[in-house]
Amino acid sequence: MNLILLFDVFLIAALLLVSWRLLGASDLFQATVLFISFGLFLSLAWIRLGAPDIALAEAAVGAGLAGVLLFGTFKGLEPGADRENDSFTSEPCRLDPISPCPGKIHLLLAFTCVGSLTTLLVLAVLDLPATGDGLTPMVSQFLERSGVEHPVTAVLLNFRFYDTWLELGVLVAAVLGILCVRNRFDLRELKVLQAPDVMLRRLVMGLAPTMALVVVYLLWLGDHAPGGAFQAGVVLAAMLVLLWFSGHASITGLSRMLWLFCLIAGFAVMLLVAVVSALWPEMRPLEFPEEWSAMIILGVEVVATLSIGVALSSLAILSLGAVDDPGGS
Amino acid sequence: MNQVIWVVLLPFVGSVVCLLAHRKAVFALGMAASLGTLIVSVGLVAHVWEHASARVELGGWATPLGIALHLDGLSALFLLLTAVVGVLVGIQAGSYFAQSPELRAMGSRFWPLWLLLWGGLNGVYLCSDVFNAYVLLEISTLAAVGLTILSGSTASLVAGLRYLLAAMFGSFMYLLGVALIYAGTGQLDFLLLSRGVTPQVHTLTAFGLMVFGLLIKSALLPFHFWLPPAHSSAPAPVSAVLSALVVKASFFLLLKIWFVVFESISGGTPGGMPSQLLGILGSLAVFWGSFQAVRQSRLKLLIAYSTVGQLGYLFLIFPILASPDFQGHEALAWGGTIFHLFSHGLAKASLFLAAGCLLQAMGTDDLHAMRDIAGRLPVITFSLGVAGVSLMGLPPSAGFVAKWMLLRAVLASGQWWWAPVIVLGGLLTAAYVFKILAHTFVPSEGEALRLNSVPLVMTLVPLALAILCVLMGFRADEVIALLPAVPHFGTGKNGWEMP
Repeated sequence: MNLILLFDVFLIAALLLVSWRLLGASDLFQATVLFISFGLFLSLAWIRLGAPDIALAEAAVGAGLAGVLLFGTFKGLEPGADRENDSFTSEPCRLDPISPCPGKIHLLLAFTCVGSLTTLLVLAVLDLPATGDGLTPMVSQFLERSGVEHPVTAVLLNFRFYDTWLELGVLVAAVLGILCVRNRFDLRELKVLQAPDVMLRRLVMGLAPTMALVVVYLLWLGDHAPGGAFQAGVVLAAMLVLLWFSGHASITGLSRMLWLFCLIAGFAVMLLVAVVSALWPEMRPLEFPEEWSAMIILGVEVVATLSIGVALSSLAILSLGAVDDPGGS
Repeated sequence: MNQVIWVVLLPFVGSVVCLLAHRKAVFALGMAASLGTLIVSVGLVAHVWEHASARVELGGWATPLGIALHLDGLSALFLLLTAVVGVLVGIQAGSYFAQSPELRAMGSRFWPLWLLLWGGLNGVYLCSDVFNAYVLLEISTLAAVGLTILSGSTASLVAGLRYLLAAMFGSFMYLLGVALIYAGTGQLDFLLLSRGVTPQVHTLTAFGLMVFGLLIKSALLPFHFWLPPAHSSAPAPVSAVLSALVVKASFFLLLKIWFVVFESISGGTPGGMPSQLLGILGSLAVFWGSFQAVRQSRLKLLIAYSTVGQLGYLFLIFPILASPDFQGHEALAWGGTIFHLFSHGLAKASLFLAAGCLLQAMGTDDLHAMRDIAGRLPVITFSLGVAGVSLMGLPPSAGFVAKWMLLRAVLASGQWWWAPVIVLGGLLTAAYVFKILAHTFVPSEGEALRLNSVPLVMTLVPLALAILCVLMGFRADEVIALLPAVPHFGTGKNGWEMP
């Protein structure tokens, strides 16, 4: 027991230290590396808090995909061949060369705000009732009518189906927004900035099937254990981004129509369930018959995994990809 | 009452279809979805008129476990405003985005995002669950940011990024509040929460965080910084939607959080101070927003600052309703606020669409370039004038009815100090409206500006919106009669009972 306590203390200390160093880092590269390690420590903390589902998502999104995006952005900002001036390294505190560096007043103000918010939150958390299970007992009571055995999946894909459906809509909106930023309609011809390395190509070639297997495993796991569409989707996204980074065929090879289908399939299938249930006379909206719920949930999860994977990898590729001819984008 | 869900389903179906459809068919499909949504929304208003509120438990799961949709007078009126503005903006977008290949490409991006936004907004009006409200706010925010940066110009990208960061910060604060309230009470549903919330440190913190987040999203004074650049740099149909509808959705949620979920806190003594604070911030917003609007020399920026000012009036409802000697006058306060919201929505949509026409005709929205416009573009100038009259609050417009009701509510509540805000705010509004109109009548010196042609439909839509705004003023009684379910929703007497 003491060992666990020691581990917890170490974890908290590490989280605080890493976040402190991260905020104080003057070098963006260092800050990015620290951010990724912060995400990993945080996912360990989620495991200690007994929330493996969130730990998986945090490790994959918070440390993995966010890390890729940050590194990619860093590469884009780095003074390279096309940027003669090295103002970036001389004044590391800012990304926008026009705006001034934050002064002492700004820092003081920021610390006061963050400090008072933290104090307030600590007070509020200390005030929380000690015995609050929330809706957990109720979820376990209705679990057998939900069609799955894992309570988190039951909540996400049956009791609060509406929320999950809208979350997939959020992903679609995000991708559509980035398409506007890049002024594009699809992902075709988006290339990596640097030519991929041969070793990397081979390595990823070997890794991809294993990752595909993990996707299927996580998806299947969601039925009765921590896992499911979101976790599987993120691993799928990681696989697609890795394949793209190493110069293999990835979603950039898909035609516009096919890519769009994959992107909105999850949202559209859940929309279809909603429309059918709204048209069905004896059903409430978004209700499905109990004997079919296992099948419907599985179907929705498979399609949602595909959509989440494609959406997240599209976000990364759209943010980081470059077009060969400079006038084309 | 299962057809409630269709106001969310139809725009989403339209969005998916528009995304996959061929570029040429997008407008027709989008309009079909818009008209369908309008019909369902009108049907829901009729339903509220006849049977008061309705409640649907999604998925057949009873509320603590599942999510419920709640339709009452307030939601019905918001649905109606969104549908009317939505359909008219859609018609405008049809001809706006048909003019050049670049605009056509932009239009094929506009429709999926706009319908996604519409579905999200309708969802917000119907939602009865604090977490569900968060997801709906996210979908609306992301779609709205996507629409802001539709043109891809540098100015719009900068404005969009600022909007995104401010809105995300607001969502994050709101979500922190949701987490605290769920940890404290184990409930997420509006009604169940309103029964379970008692004034404690954690509930007060949650209340503060949620309200703070929503204030950022509703652009109340110190948090308005993101609004003018975002609303002024978007394409005209988008600006109209952003100013007329999107900021109001978070205000709607604020009303529900304040008067339903945390009724026991905001209604009692602890609610007095924050209510007054919101009133003060609202008044400052009226002055500051209008003052900044008067100072602008670009038309779209002027209209965007006017939104900051006009939103301020909405926040007067908090101190008015918090007054202890206000029994029996709730209907006035609610009526005035809803009327203002409606008239501002219609007038602001009209102004932004008219500004879009002017921008296209002149190639710039610099006020000083608008010489001799009144004679050459009479319809657009007329729309600007009529919508301006309603903003100022002159009879016989809806804006007049709104300000009159608000003024009476303020006096009835014994808080006379808000009355000068309403009157002086109207004067400042008059100043910037006349600033616009004055420029249009100045005869041009020397060579006249060459004007590009504007399609007829594009000039008629703002006119239709402005005329609707005035007609609503003539038909004030009917609109107020639709409100009976609204005034009581704050007091929990009606409309919020479990079926």
